[in-house]
This record gives sequence, structure tokens and C-alpha cells, in this order.
Amino acid sequence: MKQETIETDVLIIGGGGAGFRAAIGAREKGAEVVLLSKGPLARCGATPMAGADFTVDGLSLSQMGFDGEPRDSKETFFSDIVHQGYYMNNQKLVEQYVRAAPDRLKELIAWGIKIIHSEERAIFTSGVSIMDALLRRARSIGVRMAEDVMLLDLVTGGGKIEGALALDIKSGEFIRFKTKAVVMATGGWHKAFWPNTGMRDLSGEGVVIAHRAGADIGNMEFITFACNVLLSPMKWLGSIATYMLHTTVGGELTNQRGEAFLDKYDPYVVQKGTTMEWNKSFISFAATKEVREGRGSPNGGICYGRGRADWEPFEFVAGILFPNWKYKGLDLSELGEKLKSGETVEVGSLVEYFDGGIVVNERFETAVPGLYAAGECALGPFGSNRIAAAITEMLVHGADAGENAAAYAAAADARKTDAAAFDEKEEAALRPLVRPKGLRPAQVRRCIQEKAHKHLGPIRNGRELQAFVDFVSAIKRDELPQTATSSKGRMYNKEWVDALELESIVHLLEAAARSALFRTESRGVHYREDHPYTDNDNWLYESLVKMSGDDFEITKRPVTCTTITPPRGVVSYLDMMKKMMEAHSDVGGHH
Amino acid sequence: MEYCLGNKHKRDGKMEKNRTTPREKNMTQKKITVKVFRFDPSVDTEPHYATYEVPFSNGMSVMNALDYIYQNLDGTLAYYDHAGCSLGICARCTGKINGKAGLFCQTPVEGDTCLEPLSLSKVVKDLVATRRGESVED
Repeated sequence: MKQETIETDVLIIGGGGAGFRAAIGAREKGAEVVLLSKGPLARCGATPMAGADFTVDGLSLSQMGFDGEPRDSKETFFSDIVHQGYYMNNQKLVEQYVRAAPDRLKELIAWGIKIIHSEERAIFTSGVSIMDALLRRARSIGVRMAEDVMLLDLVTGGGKIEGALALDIKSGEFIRFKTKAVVMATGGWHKAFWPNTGMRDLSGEGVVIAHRAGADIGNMEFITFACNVLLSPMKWLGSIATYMLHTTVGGELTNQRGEAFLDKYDPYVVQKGTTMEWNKSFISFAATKEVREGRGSPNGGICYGRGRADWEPFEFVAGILFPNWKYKGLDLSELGEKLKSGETVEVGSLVEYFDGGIVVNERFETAVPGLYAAGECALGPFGSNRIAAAITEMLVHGADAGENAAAYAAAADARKTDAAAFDEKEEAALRPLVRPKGLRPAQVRRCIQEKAHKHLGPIRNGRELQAFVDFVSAIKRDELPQTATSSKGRMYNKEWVDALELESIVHLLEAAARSALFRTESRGVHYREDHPYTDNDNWLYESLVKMSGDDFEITKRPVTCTTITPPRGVVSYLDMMKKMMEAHSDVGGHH
Repeated sequence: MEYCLGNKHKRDGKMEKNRTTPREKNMTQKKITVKVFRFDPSVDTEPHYATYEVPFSNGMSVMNALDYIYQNLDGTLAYYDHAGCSLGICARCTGKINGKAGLFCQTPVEGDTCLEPLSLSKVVKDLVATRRGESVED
């Protein structure tokens, strides 16, 4: 078998916005850089799926000539993010986000992104436009890139990064890397849930591999669900087109009995919770409550329709979002017809963003020397609830992580090659392929995905979480060691990839469910039916998952605060949500 | 204790079909035939076609049919699924549907269907085709 070994200074894992921006940052500092993209170049990960909004403080935006709100400031934006995150934010990372955002936007404009419009605190472009600009820039400065390549493991020596092992999915061959630094930028792990809003590649192996290499992971229980996502017809499952429509044009949400269920809630919370990006936490909570109490639609959602809105103005605004009812590759004219005739469509709350992840400091260093993390796979600035843009996050993280990794690599000793370490990891990766018979990986995955959607959604309780932890532990113990591929060829063997990904999915679901069980309060996107209060006396802590042998130890550390000191006290979940909405500045806009 | 497949697997030696969701219950009403191009260059000397029966539901795409076949009927089938968006953005699932080029993820299934790669010369396996010669581009 052909054995390829590639040497580089910095290896970037992930082909979304964070990975590309890290690659550019490292390359601009003079490092040799290789970027591994699990799927098509500039068309994988969550970035191309994004609408996409880029948030920057309004003053900076207005100074750049956009419709930004000049009364806004970096300090005001900082304060709003910390309140939106229910004080759970790492304030050092919020400072970095707010400070670096204008420079990241300016360079994107210089690299040629198309801006559709701007508002108080955001510009709107598309994820595809951002990826195209980043790809052009990376190519022009000599970043090397590999497509359809999946990270299998990191190789460390003396506790430091020495290399990595990857799989070329199309050929089925292993690729060995010798590298001084690695930037993990693998995004979320949407694939642990079904249905979901993500690309098919997001199975979270970067988070798991960093964890096993010695980095901590934290706040894994905070998982954001996008509301009003299309559930039907099947070909549109997971599209956020109706989320965008409801946010921009409005419309009515009803349960299976035809009741406008949001009427039950505080009008102030409903107003903020439907017109701002608070909708992800508020509507997902309210809709999931309807479903759990037996008032959901056949596929586990609610109904979205035009309500009492007149068709003409509705269609006019919808036409700005979706000209001729076309959105990216989707022909939504059937949706337009339905809404026009007064029919409703089924929409639901689907997994969209992971607030927790690999623990980093404000230099994006992990606990492992030479290992950095950026973007959604990192425990970022948003605390327990994200409203400001993840697009901004991936770029501000990526740039700094890439530059810091290049500086580290420049000062690091030459890597030693440890062929035995690679051999051992290749043998482990081959297990599902050489096992003669066993469980089909895609079937095990689907069963886990559906249970994760049900028990690790916006509403949880201790009994269900414990049952889910037991379920996942049993899968880990009894079924993962039994997965086998139906065919034994190595070239594009989907079941082999599925079996390898399943290890990550199970690891992350167990970490998230145990963290959710550990956090005996409700805050942000984590609501516990059996602990329906935000507990600022006992829970101003990030949860941490540490590896302890092959098992986890769930622990906690105080939230990192710089200028805003969280208040004390215990407040019921929705009252706390209202307080956090009220604490928001009057800058306006969606963020 | 709940298991995915394990208990059933141990009891009768066969694997249990996926739990049926409401979406799939609707699918049991009508069946269609999907004929798929198969070619594994590491084993086969020439391509052949395999035929599968797939439950039909309104609004399903070719990709939904492939997912059904792969997850329930034949785990050896290759189509570009390890990454990709399913929502018409990445275009990596381009192929021929009843002889016409299109995206598997956004082409509706309307009846019996034949699926082939766009070009025979670029086939990696079955419906997966290559785009570039090198794995690391310089």
C-alpha cells in the first residue's frame, strides 16, 4: 500500500470559515500550511448553509459607510452579548470578538464578498460568498488544501503535537502528517441528531480527538436549536427558509389544534422573542413544549402560515429574500402557493449551533501545546445563548488561532517521527473494515440520532437524561465494538466512514447528556423541567468534561468575568429570559 | 435498557429494521423501483445495475431514495453522502436521473427511476465521481 507522509508547520482541520481563516492567518505569518476539508472545498461545514449575518458594533459599521447605528459602541455590544448569554460568557472571548470584528469585515470586503444589505448591528451576505472569498485568498497565498479528507487522530510526543493521521475518503488510503501545530476547526456535530440543519459531514470528530489528546471540553449542554425549520416535504427537511421568512416577514405559528400558542406567553417576551434572534431560544422552547405536551404536528413540529397578514405585502418582502421563490438550490414556489392559499407548513426546532466545545484561552490555545481550536468547535464567547453571529465568531477566532499557531510552529523544535504511533492508529481505524460481520453503522446512527433529538432538545429533565446516558453508554459498550462494513473495499466506503464517525457521535452525546444532567438549573438554551430556575447563586460556572482514563469526569469552573459582574439570586426561567431581554440596549436590529 | 439493534441482533441473529417514524409510515403505501449504476473499479471489470424497491412518499427527492436504500437495503452502495448539504447548495450530488443531469438532493422522485453518474470516466465508485486528480493541491 502506498504510504504518504506530508510535512507542514501548521495543519488546519476543517474546511469551513474558521479553518480557512486560520489557514490564511498562519500562511500570512510565513508558515507552511495544509488545510484538510472533509467535503468539497469551500462547500462543506456549516458556513455555506448560513444566510448569512455578520455582526459588528453599529458605530464601526456606520464609520465603514453602512447603515450601522452610530449610538452603538463596542462596550454596548459587549454588554448585550453578555446579557444574551445569561452571564455564562467567557468575557475575555467576548472582548476579542467585539474588538476584532471590524477588521475581519473590512478584509472580507477587500477579498470580494457581496453584501446584500446592512442594518443597525449587522451586514447580510451569504455563506457561499464568504467561502468563495476565503478560498480565493487562501489559494492566492499558497495554502495547500486537501478535499474529501477526514481527520482520524492526532499524534503527540512528550505531550506536544507531532502529527496527525487522516483518511482520504475517495481512495481509502491513510495520509500521515508531520506537523508542529494543529488548528482544530471542525465546527458542530449536527450529525448526532436527526433531523438536523447541518451539512452531512458535521460529526464532531475534531472535538473528540482534541479531548482524547488532552484538551478539556466544556458547556456541552448548551445546544442551540433553530426554530421554524422546514420538516416537510422530505426534500426540504432541515431548510431554514421558513425561519428566515418568519423572522423577516412574520406570519403565524399554531399547534396541531390550530391554537396560536405564543399567545400564552408574556407579550414583551413574545415581541423580542420573535423579532430578534432571541427566537432561536424562545420559539424553540415554546414549540418544543407544544410537541412534548401532545399538541405537535405529525412529524413532531408545529404549523407555520401567513395568519392574518395580507398576501401582497407578505409576498413583496418574501420576494426580497427569495426572488421568484428560489432560495439557493431550492425551488420554493410550492411553499409560496401554500402560504398564498392560506395553508400551513410543518416546521420544527432542529439542532443548529453548539455553544460549548473545546476549551481555549483568548489566544485560542488548548491545554495541549501546539493544539489550537477556532470557531464553533471551540467553547466560544456566547455563554448559554447565542444571538450575535457565529459567522463573525469563526473569522475572529480563525485569524488569531492561525497566527498564534504559526508563531508557535516557528519557535517549536523539529518533529520526531514515531512510525509506531501511526501504525497503531491505522490499525484501530481499520477495525470496522476488517471485522467480518456485525452491526450496520448507519442503522445504529439513525436510532441514536432520533433519541438525541427527543431527549437532548430544548427541553430536558433528569429522568430522560439519565435514561439517555444509560442508552448511550450501552451503545458504546455493546454496539460500537460490533459495527462492521458490508463491503471490505477501501475506496469510498461510506459504512467505514459512518462507523468511524459513530465513535465521535457517541462520545459527544454522552458528554452533552451528562453535562445537562450535571447542570441542575435552567439557563439560556438549556431548560430542565425538574429545575426550572436560573440559579445565579450556585451555577455561575461553566461545566467541564475531563477525560479520566476512558471515562469522563464532569466538573466545573467559575465563569470568566472582566467588566460585568453577574448578579446573585434565583429566578424562574422565563422571568430570567425577560430580564435578559430588558437588559438589552435600544440599538435595534435582529441582534 | 434500550438498545438500537443489539437485543434483537442477539435474539434471532438478524438485524432489526429501523424504528418506524411517522414520515416512514406514510411511505409504506406505494413502492417504486430504483435502478442504480454500480461499479467498483477495485473489484468489477465492468459496470452493472442493481434494482431496489423503495417506499414512495410525496415530496421525496432522489437523495431520500438513496438514503433509504443505503440505510435499509444495501450498505455497499456508494453515493456522495459523507459530506454535502442535501439542500442544493454544494452540487456535489450531481448525476443523471432517468438520463437527465440534475442534483439528486433536489430532483423529486415521481415514479420508477434510473440513477447514473454524469461521466463514466470519472467514477470512483458507483455514483461517486472524482473532480480533481491530486489529493493535496499546491
